[in-house]
Amino acid sequence: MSDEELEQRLKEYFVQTIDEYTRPAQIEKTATRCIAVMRKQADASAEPRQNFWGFLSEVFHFEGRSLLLPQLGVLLVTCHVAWTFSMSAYALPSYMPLFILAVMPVFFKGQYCRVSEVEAATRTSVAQLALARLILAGAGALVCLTFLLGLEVWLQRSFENLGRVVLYCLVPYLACMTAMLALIRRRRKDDAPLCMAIALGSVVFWRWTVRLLPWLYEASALGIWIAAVLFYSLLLAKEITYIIHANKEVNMYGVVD
Amino acid sequence: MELSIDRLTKHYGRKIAVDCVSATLTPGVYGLLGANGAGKTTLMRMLCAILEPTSGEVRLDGKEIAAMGENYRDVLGYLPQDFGFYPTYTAAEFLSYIAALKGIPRDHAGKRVKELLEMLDLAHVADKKIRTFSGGMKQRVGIAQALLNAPQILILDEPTSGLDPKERVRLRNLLSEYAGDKIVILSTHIVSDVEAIADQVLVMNAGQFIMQGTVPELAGRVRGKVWELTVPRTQARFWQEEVTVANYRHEGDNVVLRIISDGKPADQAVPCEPILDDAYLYHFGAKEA
Repeated sequence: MSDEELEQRLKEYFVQTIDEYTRPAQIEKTATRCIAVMRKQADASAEPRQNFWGFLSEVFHFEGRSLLLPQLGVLLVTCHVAWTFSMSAYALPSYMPLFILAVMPVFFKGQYCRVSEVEAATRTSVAQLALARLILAGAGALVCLTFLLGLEVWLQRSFENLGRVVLYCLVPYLACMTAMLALIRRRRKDDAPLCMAIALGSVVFWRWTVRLLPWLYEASALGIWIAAVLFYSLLLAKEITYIIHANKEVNMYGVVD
Repeated sequence: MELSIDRLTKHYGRKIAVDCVSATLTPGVYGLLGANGAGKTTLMRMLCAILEPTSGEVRLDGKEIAAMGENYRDVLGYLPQDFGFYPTYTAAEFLSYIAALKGIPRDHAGKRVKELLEMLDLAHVADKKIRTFSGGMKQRVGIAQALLNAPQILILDEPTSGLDPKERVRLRNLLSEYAGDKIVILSTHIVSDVEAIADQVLVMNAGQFIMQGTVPELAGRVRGKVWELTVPRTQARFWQEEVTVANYRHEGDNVVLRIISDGKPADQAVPCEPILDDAYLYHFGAKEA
């Protein structure tokens, strides 16, 4: 092939190639490919995000002490009273709302310190934060309750009434926890004082039942307690479902209007 | 990236806080101007998905933000007007806490917190309780928390309030530098802040956008309506009552008034080059503004 011929062929090839790559369809195809590559690069360079368990660990790091120490304080007071005055199992329900009272400041502090708006605009949102606090508070309460039941068994030297005592403890605890979550969902300024009033009112109410409704603690009333546990468990499950839904979609949970 | 606001409305009982506003925001700095009660904060809270609109919707790249959930909040940074903090936390602890809420792993968060504390000149007080901080320092902590996740959409409600002039200039520069390919929306009463950094200005009144455009465009709308008039001191009060006076400056025994008026207020008045302040005052009047 002569030099002239080669030059001519190369020219034709370049013209053909340029023509091919400047056709609108080809340009669009190239642009789509470039966008895909850039997105892939952007994804790779994006900061990783924690999953819920990692987040739960962070909440424990920041709020673990505020959630667990006050509950431990309530446990110590209850144990002291039980030990000193040989408290009967019937008196236990009146101490259960105190465990809610102990964790209440952590649940409402965002509203009081005006941080809930900032918290609500974060990835995890107030709803997921409430869920993490709920898990930690519940775990703390479970440990305290187990300890209390152990003490009760040891004091009575019998396992006979253990099942009933568990129900006596669960009903007021679940009722107060449900009330607190329902109030947070309500998003009003008076949520915290109202929650405190409900918890303290419950303490008085359950003490009152021991004196004025003694039949409630007889073996024949067991069905009422079982029904109450089921009822409040359902309500609590409904509140938790709402929190999970609030985290996935809308994000107004817990932020005072 | 495109954030579209479509007929967004918010009612509080009978009161209409935001009244069917629509806009399309693309990367850049947007200044939201308006008097108290104009609906700026309500609008910003709806843009952050922490306040449910009565009607209308906000979409990011075509997806409704309420349905995007954490994917939207992941690209969002927000500084509320009434920014609070936990009194027991130090600046570094508070930022680490917010970083945890933003889902940033601890090793990344530590680095980011350090960077932001340095960027906002808070490194020397990183381990001090926020409750001991001045108003300006608290505001800078608020700005730092909004920037923690390097948000694509940054919404700042009155970010310059409580800042001294030096801090304001620093923040303005920081936001200009940050904006790039991101959407930055800031609300303020201070027109000069908006004038200095906003690519687009949205002026709100009674829950509606009454003006929208670039600073030169908005200022240009009052061209021929801004005048400078030199009068004896004794006449200053008369002019203040008669027309909208944007500025009042002493010059010997006289005062130089910057007047906003459709017509020439006096024979001696000379026309001047309008600024954004003049456009704002033209629409709101000196007393209302």
